[in-house]
Amino acid sequence: MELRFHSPYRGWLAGLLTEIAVFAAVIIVAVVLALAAARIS
Amino acid sequence: MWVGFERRDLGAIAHYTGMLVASMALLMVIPLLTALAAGEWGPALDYACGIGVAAAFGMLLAQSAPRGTHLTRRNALIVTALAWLAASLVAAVPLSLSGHYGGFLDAFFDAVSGLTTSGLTLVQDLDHLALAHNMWRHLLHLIGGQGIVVAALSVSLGLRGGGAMSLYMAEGRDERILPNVMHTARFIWFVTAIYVTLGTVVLSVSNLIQGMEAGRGVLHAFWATVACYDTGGFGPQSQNALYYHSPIFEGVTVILMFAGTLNFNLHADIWRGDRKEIFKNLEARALAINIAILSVVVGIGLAATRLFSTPGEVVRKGLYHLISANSGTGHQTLYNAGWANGYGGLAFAAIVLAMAFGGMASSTAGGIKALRLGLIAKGVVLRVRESIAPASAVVRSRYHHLLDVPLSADVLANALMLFVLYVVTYISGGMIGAAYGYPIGEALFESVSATANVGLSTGITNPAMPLGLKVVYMLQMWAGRLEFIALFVLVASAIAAVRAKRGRA
Amino acid sequence: MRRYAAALLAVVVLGCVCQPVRGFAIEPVIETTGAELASMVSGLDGQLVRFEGEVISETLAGGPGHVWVNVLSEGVAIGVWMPAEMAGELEVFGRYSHTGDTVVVTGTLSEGCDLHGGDLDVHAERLELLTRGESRERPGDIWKLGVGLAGLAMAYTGWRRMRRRADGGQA
Repeated sequence: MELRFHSPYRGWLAGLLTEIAVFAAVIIVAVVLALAAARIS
Repeated sequence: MWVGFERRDLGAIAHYTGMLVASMALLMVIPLLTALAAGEWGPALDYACGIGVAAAFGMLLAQSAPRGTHLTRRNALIVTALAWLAASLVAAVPLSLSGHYGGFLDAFFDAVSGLTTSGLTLVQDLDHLALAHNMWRHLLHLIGGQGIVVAALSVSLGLRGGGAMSLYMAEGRDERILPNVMHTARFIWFVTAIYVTLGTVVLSVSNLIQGMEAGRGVLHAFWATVACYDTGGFGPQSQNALYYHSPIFEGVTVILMFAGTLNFNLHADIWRGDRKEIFKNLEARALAINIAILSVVVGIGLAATRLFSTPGEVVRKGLYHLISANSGTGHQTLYNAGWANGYGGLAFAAIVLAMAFGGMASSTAGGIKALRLGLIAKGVVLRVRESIAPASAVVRSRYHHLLDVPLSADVLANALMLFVLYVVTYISGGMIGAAYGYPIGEALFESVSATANVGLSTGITNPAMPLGLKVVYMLQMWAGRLEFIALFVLVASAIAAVRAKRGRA
Repeated sequence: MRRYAAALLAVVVLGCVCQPVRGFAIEPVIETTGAELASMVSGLDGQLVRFEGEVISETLAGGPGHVWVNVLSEGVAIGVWMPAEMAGELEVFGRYSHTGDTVVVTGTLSEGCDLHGGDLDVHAERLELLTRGESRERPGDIWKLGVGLAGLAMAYTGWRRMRRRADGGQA
């Protein structure tokens, strides 16, 4: 767990892009689920 | 055991509260400059007055002890609890002078709502509010969202020595992200600066393409970014997010809401390069599962109302409000009255649940928080496994939140206690609303929205609402933001102090 | 028999031809307000409505050939979608410094508009300009500056006293 001692500033851009990609993925999954639910009912 | 108060304690508490209040005076320079730049002379005078009042009040309090006075842990909790009120009190001064509020109490309500990043508002004729006042309302989200203490540390006046760390810890940010409080504050602002810059740029482009005037377009973009990233919910227009008629605006703001609800420790871990953490983390998983289940429920519920004829509409409206509710933001693209009259039933229930659950701990989101829900779920599974296992077996459970941690009874009890406190507050507020004559469903919606610092409204919150209910919602927003404990410490200490005085007399 | 058929045909043809005219003549226009439109219980979904209000937005892009204008009526603002040329007359929109153009909007209410992602909106058929907007005089009160300066002076003396005390304590 030596990562915990790394500076959080160095990898900020990669981290930021990861975060945005994950948010987008969650939104897409939610859209698919909601779409399926709306279609069925 | 209750430790009594001494004069020294009161002095230290007043000193630090005063320092925090005085830092509000410094922050009011920003709306003052906005007013001067926009040629809004009336509002400029409002802020000139506000700065004077905040500085004088702050310094008056601060004089009760010398600088660098030691602050015990208990006193830090009390300062934090008081600071939110005292800061709101002075923040309300320029707002109440704007002429857009029914009185000082209404302005105070907005200041509390702004600082606790709730977003319920009692402003009148919002569409004609000055840019300076809008700047201040949204700045309150930023100050409160990052934490008043963090904000004060950043404009640092005299918040040094032993006081700063205790204050920071007392503000509901339980973990230290970086070993030193100044570094932690700096990191929080770093993440904020990046997201706010990014959001402002993207939304500015969107607003300008949409046809807004340059200055207004950029300011609106900044405000929307701050309100979403700090999971606030104020908007510069009465239509809130519906004003822009732009799917791009809605998409970008949803991403910002997610960014705002992410635990700062998680931000730090991911930015350090530990990208797997977001998939392993108990809290991230709990939030994802929560959103997935409620997406289905909202989808079914809104489709059942038959108000929208295509599934696409159901998804666009449903998910925007679901994520707005779950992250504790409170931006809306539907009218308040719709919640009371149109979108009832299952979707309404799902939105109330999403608000009640809330986002992640150590973020600007409110509510019970995904971490606690995850822990409680783990605890339930553990109890079931224990019951099934043979008597001699030792059943243990672990969870991953930044580190691999065994699930202890202590952690579980703490999560359950806060769960109960939130639920009791949600229901009590709903009952009080119902006692005032509002339908119980709407009253519960509004109560949850206030306690979880969300800001969605069925329309109960308006300038004409009963005075008592305004006070109740203010207390709920305050208690919810502090996660109760600091508030209870304040009350218990006040009682202890009174008792001690009576004992001496 | 044939005569009956011819007469029937004539009636049908006449009916078809006259339909639009008759429709135009008696289609009811319901006078209303923004607050009622947004209430979701007005029962006006899909109806032709007319309301008066103040323009509070720039003309915002609304897809090819169309624009959005937000109109504030009885305290509630409604998004109005219209062909771009219809908004050509608009000049002043309401904000802090200005009262916007007052307009009368005639259009169809959708409580969940299929064209616009389920938004509650009005698709305008007619837009009349009632009065031109103008800049607003909003004088400030100079006493506020006085209070502010007095407060700052108090704060300054307090700050100095506190610093002197801290220095004295160390000495």
